[in-house]
Amino acid sequence: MLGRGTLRSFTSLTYAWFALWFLAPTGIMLIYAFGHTASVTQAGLVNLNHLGFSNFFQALRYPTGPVLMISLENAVLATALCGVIAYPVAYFIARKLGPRTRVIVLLLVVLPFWTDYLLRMLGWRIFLSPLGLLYGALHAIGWHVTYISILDTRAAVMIGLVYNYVPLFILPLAVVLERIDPLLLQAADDLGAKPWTIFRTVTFPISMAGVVAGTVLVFVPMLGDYVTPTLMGGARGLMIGSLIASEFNEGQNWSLGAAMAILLIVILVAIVVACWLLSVGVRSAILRTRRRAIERDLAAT
Amino acid sequence: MKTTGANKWLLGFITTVVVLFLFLPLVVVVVFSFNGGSDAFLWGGLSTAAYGQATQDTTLITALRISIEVAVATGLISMLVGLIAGLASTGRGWAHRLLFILFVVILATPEIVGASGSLLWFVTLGVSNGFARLIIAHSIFGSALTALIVRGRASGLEPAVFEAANDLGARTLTMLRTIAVPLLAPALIAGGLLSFTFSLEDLVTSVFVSTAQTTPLPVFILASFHSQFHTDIFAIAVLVFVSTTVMFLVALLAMGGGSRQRMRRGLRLLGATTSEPE
Repeated sequence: MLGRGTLRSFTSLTYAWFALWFLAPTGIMLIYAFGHTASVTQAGLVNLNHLGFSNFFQALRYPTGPVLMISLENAVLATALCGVIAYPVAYFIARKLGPRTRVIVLLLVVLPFWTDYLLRMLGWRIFLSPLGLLYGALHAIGWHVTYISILDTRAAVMIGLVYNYVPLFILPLAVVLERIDPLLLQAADDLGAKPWTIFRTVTFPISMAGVVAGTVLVFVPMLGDYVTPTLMGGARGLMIGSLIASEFNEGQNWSLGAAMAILLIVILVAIVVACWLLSVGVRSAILRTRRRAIERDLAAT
Repeated sequence: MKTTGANKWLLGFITTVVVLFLFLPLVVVVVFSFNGGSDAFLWGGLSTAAYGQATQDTTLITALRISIEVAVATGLISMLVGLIAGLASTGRGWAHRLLFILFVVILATPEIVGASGSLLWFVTLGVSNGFARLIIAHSIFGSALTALIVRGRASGLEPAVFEAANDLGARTLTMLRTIAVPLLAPALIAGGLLSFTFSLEDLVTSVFVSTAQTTPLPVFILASFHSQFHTDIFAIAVLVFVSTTVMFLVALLAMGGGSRQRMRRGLRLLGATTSEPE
């Protein structure tokens, strides 16, 4: 597109910029993870004379290890909830609406997501607070609870996580569902398949790509999220991100913090790869059963 | 395909409930920004006092000013680097293709990892200026995002235009100024505005790299979450919300090239860029 020389200098500039501000920081974090923090008096300084895995072992022990497990549990559960909520919404947007209303509803889904994150969390805290709006609303409809005890529990963490990430599941899923060729569904219909059968054998397998994209998009940032759990769950909302942040900002054990961050990345990559393999497996299993069903039908006729 | 009526109503109902769920906290905050009571979390009558207070609160205004300054610088740097990086990634060959992967990796990295890495690096290099730290840390994300958008638009352009300019002996700068920038303007504006809003609202990276002297608004709000919380923070948050929403709509329009019909494409492009890590 551009002249060869220009393109080359642009490429070098780009590499230089990202090497300086992205690759180098990531690299130094990797090195720090293998060092050890000198002493409390030399806060923040990391001794790199004796490199070893001790930080990683420490990260897997109490109290980090259990928190890591809780984070995984929370993220898996919240991602699943996001999927269950996102599917019907994405399906409705992509397949039941005209082009114009589709854009409007999509905008409605994304609009709150563009607003200030803290603003949204504040709103939830007001709504869920013990004598807050939810309390008032329940009293108004005649349900006289003494007070609402959702805030600062794990349930509140779930609400916060699902709330913050569900649009990220809806978007890719809606895109995939919208791109399904109507002729394919028409053909299934012409061949006498019932709506549910069409959904099960045609729409759903194709939409797996969107489900996988949604899962990855939601799960990856969610596992590292540390503000939502602490804001919604208080002391009960400890996730791995909070521990990383506290090692960097308060604990001043940077090598341990770096090791936990690296651990987080490793876990995420492993899960993303597993997710991808699983989707490939599910897809081929679906195809196999479908082929078998067709063969059976052919044999019957 | 057949649509059964009951099905459609059920799906529509679920969608309505989800949309209401998504808007619920926003409505609450907007309503509570007009709260006249002394406790920010308990309703004490209608009042616009909070908006008046917000304009008087110097620490709040300072935090907002820092946020805006950082966001403007981030937007501009992201446009410049995004243009260069985006064009660089359109070339053929592994070095250019690797750039595309790099952009996606940067956008897909959990923010807390990037943030802690940036902090370590700034301390190592001795970058202690809070503005510089915030702007650089935000610009990494912003420039990768803008580069992806620029790349998307550049790959849709006719290469012959550039070849013709090249054949006619246009210099690099002339070509950039007269051809590349005007043609890529929608992508650049969209990328710049998205980076601006990202920077304005960023919390995680800012918590890590900001200093005591340069506290941007989200960090300030977070700090006051558990201590002294005043209603005027709601008022400022609502004002920021209104302005960023306008920004985003402008970005979307720019992405689609301005016309209303093209806005749809912009929306889809946004979906495509966010689903890139897959």
